[in-house]
Amino acid sequence: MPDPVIAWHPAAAAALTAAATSQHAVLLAFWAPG
Amino acid sequence: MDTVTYPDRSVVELVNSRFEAVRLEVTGKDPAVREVARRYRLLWSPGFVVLDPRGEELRRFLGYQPPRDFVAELRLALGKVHLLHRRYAEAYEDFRAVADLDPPAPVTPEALYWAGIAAYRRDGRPLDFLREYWEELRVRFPGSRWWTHADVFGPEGPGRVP
Repeated sequence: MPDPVIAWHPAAAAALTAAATSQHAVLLAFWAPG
Repeated sequence: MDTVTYPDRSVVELVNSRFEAVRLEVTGKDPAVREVARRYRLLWSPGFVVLDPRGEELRRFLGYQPPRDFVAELRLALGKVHLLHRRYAEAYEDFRAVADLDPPAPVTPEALYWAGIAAYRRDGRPLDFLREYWEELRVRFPGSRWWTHADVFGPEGPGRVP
């Protein structure tokens, strides 16, 4: 069985909508390559 | 974060069970992502912002986070989400989980500060009892700035919580 991975949302707007529906908190993880 | 922290099992379990999580490449071309990055005005990356389900910002932190520290930061943020929504027992549980880490995490003194407030709110006791709820913070981390914040009953403090 593969190791579990974080289920990142594909888009910020979708995550915020999902959070409001699910009553989950939102984690925004900002990153820059390099 | 990609090679150590994000694949860590404790991180994956916490994030997947209690967050809607989204990664945002701040230097990418997606205008929606750049707009979100502008809105939160992060000065550096990696950077993290925790929002409650309504979009209220409750915590932000910067820089590489080892898995254990990352989990502690996130549970502290989750406690604050509960506290904001007056779920005091649940808030205490999250703060207590950080307070009980052995060895302590960098945010453990802060967790004890908030645990005291959550317990005080949960139990509905008179304000004077807040001192008892913060006693563990005084004993374990007397040199921390969180004990300084809590020391409102001491001889140098105003003697009462505003």
